[in-house]
Amino acid sequence: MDPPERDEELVRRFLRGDADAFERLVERHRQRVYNLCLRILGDPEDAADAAQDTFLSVLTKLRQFRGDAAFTTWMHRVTVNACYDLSRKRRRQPMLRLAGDPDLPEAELGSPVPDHAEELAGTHDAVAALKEVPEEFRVALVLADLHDMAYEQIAKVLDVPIGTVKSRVHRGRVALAGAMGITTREPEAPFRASEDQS
Amino acid sequence: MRHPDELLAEYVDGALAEGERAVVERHLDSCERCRGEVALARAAREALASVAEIPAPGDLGAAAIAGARRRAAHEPAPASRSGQPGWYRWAGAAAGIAAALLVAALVLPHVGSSPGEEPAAGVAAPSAALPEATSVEAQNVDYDLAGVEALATSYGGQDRAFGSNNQSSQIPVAAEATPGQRIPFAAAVACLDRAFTVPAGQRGPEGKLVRVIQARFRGTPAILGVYLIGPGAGQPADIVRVLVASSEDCSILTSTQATT
Repeated sequence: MDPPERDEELVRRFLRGDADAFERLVERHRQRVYNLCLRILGDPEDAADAAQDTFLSVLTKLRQFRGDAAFTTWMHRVTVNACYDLSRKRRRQPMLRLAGDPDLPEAELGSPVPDHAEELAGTHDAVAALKEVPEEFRVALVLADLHDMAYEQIAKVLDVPIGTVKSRVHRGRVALAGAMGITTREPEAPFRASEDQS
Repeated sequence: MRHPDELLAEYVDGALAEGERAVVERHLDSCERCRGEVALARAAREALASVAEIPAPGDLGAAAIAGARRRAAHEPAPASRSGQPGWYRWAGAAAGIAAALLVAALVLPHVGSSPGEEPAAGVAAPSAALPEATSVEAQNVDYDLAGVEALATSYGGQDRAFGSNNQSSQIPVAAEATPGQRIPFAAAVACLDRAFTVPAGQRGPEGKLVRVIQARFRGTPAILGVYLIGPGAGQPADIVRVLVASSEDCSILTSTQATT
């Protein structure tokens, strides 16, 4: 049995006029793109919308894909940006500033307001709690722990230094545990650490 | 005290080299905060490990696949993959060109002829001669996908001619929708750039922007940008791309393209 055709080869074929190659790309990545959107946005309908936008953007921008990064890296970047766009749209709703977090930059206050405020006091499952993790941490966390992406690749997807990725993943994990109601006997505020750039 | 945030993620992953792990463990011996965070991070990582994938909707990406088929239909597949004799492809191309001429005859008289609008200047001119857009046309039109495709093909494109099943589309000419407040040209272009620029810091849509229309798309206030894209090196444009963004939040509504 032949090995599966590489994404970059499918891109090349599509740019030469083979629509089947594009369809294979979509089929290959549909599940991953949808689940990435779902975990970043936390809503199935929004995830479907963002995933649709992702594939339309991929189609529109494919000629600009130069092959200097892996196709999956490029496509994840397109996906994350589609999620950010949709998230901005939804962010017209009032936001909940995180307690004990006066220094958090405005851009990091992207977590949606929980459906039920009383849930904040209880223990959530991981999926529900993920929505309460600040957006920039959540994106890094989802890529690392749900999509098993290496920190170096996440840095390329997000176009940030690798140290920033590691810091975001760590703080995302801590925030997630907090949102799940997990506590330790040393309840110091988890978000105080500075986000060091490397 | 400086906390080694950048190392803690990999420490929890169990991926640190021995030297760095020793550094972290020395820090943890004296830092309650980091010890607590490591415990929380481990718990979160473990919780995420049990999160299952959800099946994607079956039609996800269908619109993009359809767009790809339209695009590919007028960009012949490599001969080695076509499996068709040369005469077959030529016959198809000839039929396509004939159909394109027919569609152009149907569509062009309608371009820009929406109620109260002057006919769009330059639309019937060769694509290469079109100047860059400098203003926004307000149209009292509610486009659908077929209307956007017809707009693209009205610049001499062959999209309708090759492979499309929709034989009835043409640029919509009547709608009850009103365009609302006029959008300044710079804001309209910025909105298109924002919608269709993918990676942060990269440039916006490629090609020469020759027309900007303020109208609606499926009821949503929209900006339509018509771009002419050439192969470079001074060659004339051979692709017409129409990008449609919401004028409310600059999100992508749709896009299509045709060859000239």
